[in-house]
Amino acid sequence: MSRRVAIVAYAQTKHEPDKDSTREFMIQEVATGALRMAGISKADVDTVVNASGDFLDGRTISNMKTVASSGAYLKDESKVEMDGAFAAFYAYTRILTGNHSVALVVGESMASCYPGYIPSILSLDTSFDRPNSFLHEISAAALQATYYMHKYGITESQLAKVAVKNLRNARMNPFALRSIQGISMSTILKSRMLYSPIRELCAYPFTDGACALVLAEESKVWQLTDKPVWIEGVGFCHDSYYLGERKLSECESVALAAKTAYKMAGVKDPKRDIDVFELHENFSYQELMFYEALGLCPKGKGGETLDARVTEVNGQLPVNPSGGALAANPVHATGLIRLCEVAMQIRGESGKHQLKKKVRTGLAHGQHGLCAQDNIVFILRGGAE
Amino acid sequence: MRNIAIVGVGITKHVSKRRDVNIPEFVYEAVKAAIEDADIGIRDIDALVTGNMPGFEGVNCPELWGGGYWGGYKKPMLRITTGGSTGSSVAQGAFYLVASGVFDTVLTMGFEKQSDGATTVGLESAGMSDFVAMRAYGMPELDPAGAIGMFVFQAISYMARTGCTIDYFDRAAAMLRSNAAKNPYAHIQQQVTAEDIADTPMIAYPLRFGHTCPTSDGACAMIVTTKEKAQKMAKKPAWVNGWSSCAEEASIAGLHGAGSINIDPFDQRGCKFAATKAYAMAGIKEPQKEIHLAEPYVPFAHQLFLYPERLLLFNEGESFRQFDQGVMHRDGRLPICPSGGVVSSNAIGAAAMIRIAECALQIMGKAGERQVTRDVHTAVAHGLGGQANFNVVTVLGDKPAGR
Amino acid sequence: MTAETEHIQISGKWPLTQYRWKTGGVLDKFVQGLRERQIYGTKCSGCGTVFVPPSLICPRCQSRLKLERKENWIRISDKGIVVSYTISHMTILGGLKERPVRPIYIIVKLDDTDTSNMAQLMQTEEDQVHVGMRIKVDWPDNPKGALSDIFYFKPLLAP
Repeated sequence: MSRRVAIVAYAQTKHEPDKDSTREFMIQEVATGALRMAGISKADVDTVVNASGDFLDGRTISNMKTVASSGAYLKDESKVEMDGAFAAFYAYTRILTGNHSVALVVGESMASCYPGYIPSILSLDTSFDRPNSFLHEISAAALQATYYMHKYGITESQLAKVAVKNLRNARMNPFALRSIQGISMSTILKSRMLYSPIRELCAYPFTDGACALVLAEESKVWQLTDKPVWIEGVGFCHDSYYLGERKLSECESVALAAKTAYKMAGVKDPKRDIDVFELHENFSYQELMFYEALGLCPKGKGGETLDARVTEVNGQLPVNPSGGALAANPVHATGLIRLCEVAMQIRGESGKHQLKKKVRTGLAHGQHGLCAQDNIVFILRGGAE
Repeated sequence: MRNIAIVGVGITKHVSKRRDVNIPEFVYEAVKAAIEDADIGIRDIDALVTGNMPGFEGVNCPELWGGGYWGGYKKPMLRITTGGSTGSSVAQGAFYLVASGVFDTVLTMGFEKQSDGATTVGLESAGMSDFVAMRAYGMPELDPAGAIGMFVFQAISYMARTGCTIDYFDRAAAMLRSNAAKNPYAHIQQQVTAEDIADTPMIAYPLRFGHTCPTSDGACAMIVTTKEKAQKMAKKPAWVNGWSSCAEEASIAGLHGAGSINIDPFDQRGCKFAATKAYAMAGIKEPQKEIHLAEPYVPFAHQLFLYPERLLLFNEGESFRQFDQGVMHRDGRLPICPSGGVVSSNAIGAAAMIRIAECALQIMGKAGERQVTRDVHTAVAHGLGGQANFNVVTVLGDKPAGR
Repeated sequence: MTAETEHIQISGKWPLTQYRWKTGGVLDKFVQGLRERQIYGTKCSGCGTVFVPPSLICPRCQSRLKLERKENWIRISDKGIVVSYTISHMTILGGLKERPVRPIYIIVKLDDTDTSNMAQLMQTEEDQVHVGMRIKVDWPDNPKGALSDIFYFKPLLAP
């Protein structure tokens, strides 16, 4: 594989609970925004990959009518019905073959238009789980969180601390949906309990939002930007559907995805080799499990790592300086936003939430399915070579 | 870019209702058949790519539930969906994953268990936002024959522009159904005559029952791999040498603030664009001479003539004129849909992939009773999705394109 | 496996009525015009393509329609041609049934536009309708300001 692919431009909307906009406008806004940043028009785009979902759009073939707004008219277009980071991977392979030089990836959803947790309930096993109407995102997360806490002695305040960290970071992120002034442990612990131990502020918010990335192959990259963010490694993995068949105290599919990505990128020790982490944490407890799965700390030590302030913005391993999914979670776009945020950090364009340290290598993560069933990990690197 | 080939194919017998299996068990049948066909094991699969039209089963991302049944446990898995062309878009996903060098061997599945849901909901919900806008702004209730609606206009346009007449559609349908009679996996397997077709009731002029596709429960799986591995896995791999897709605006105006500039679903410019790119990639300079077999996506009989023209296999308006000479029949110069085509089996998520699979089987010489008379060195497969706005073209051959 | 196997069927539903779709209000001005028997189209400020019904985003140049600009709304003739047609013999929704009266549905392209819409052709025999036929909107006596006002067409006898 001699061709290299880089992120050359990006755009995201201000994420809101109920945007005064339409799905098509959101897509057009981020697609044209990203193209403008790259200094190109849609004529220069070879392929478009869309990330959206039929059950979130409320209509079959959710990409059928987004052809105009994503600029895919008369182009080679496809759709990955998973988190946007998986769509970015597909666009990356399209460029690697040499068939395409420039790809546009767009992901979006409008939670104000679909009935909350119903789409994920519709992904359940129809023979047993669905008719029982007990299992859904929150109850499944609660079951896993309780198991994890019990096994390793993680406390509720550690779960809340993740939310405090991320939502405090979100205050510096102009795109974040949740921007709560004076956020503290007591704010989190006073928020409504959904299914114990998952509190409302420890769970992702319903979000209207979109994100787009422009990817280009090496020979084109320097015409489009002087700060390319290279895709150095990527890995993804599917775990068992049944919670009872998984190792609930670990995120094995994150570990396997990261293993592939690290190998590809030549990352020997993520603690030493990676400067920033943008993780897709639908629930605060997941972030602790991700620390362990990514090899940032030994098994069971996620809580201690958080307590030692290692993952705060001034820490050695800053996690989610953008606020993560707890700050904004437009399903299908969230993973793309993680890629976007890492790219921004590497390029020095994160504004108020730019890390003080020099950022050269970053890790972006996306998830899909109940309790992070499918995960994808990207290693991005900036630099002149 | 690496050379890639299809080395194993599994197709289930299409029926109206499979009540004895759920979705994961159902697709497993196709997966098992493909893996056995390639004589490999699950361990040899590096990644999976799958898709279907979820509106039909009412299950969101069914591969989350079924992945483990299909060999996806702890493996990379991708979901791609594009409406009717899903099967071919999924296959393209597999092609890109292998050709790019990221994975060596990819298992790809397309399926639809349409009997699980209400077909009307699955089809009509594509226009949900339009229907809601229609009602809100006072449009009268329409019943223009569901999905047929748009293709009916296409058929009339074809007749008006080329001079083709409805009796050609009868003969086309008879040929396709009779081809399907030799296909053990087809849904409707009937030796019928053009008169039998002409006797069926008219749904919306000019399309009769006999001209239209059934709704089927069906699944298809294929194994795609590199040149080195293909030569070990199959005696005669089917090389995938060219592929492309092209998206247009959904045909006929949408009301949800999306007036379409695709005035006439007859044009299908996207098909011509995709075909041109796919042929170029495969090194095919004169498709009319160099392509030996075609499996276009033909859910309605008139498309047997329309799509081969858009696939650049005939001059515009000429394809039906050659039909009566037997050019498109199984023993003809350019057999079209020797499998019986979508008009004989339509499990939406699988149909477009089966077009590719059938071309592969013909090239591999493994098409059994439906193997065509002539030698097949090159073939073209086509998938159609959305409101005739996604066209996906794949070109296969019995030798790898020089890369 | 026993000879008699029982198949259990479990029902569920996709609650489409719980979804919303946001349209950006583009049809509001359009239907207001219909009350005055005036059809409006939107002209793309990027490439000049004219859309009826109005479009939010142009597929050719990806420009976003600026609804508030008067010059983007242009008056469209109520005459056009039949691009394609069909005669509906059977209903599909609610089960297949022969229709006692067969409506002629058409794709119509109004003059001055670059798009087409679906409509119904009245006052025409089945053997008279043809591609390229000149037609005109069959306005109701009191247009309501609804899409039904321009849904019905009739043959245009003068050119």
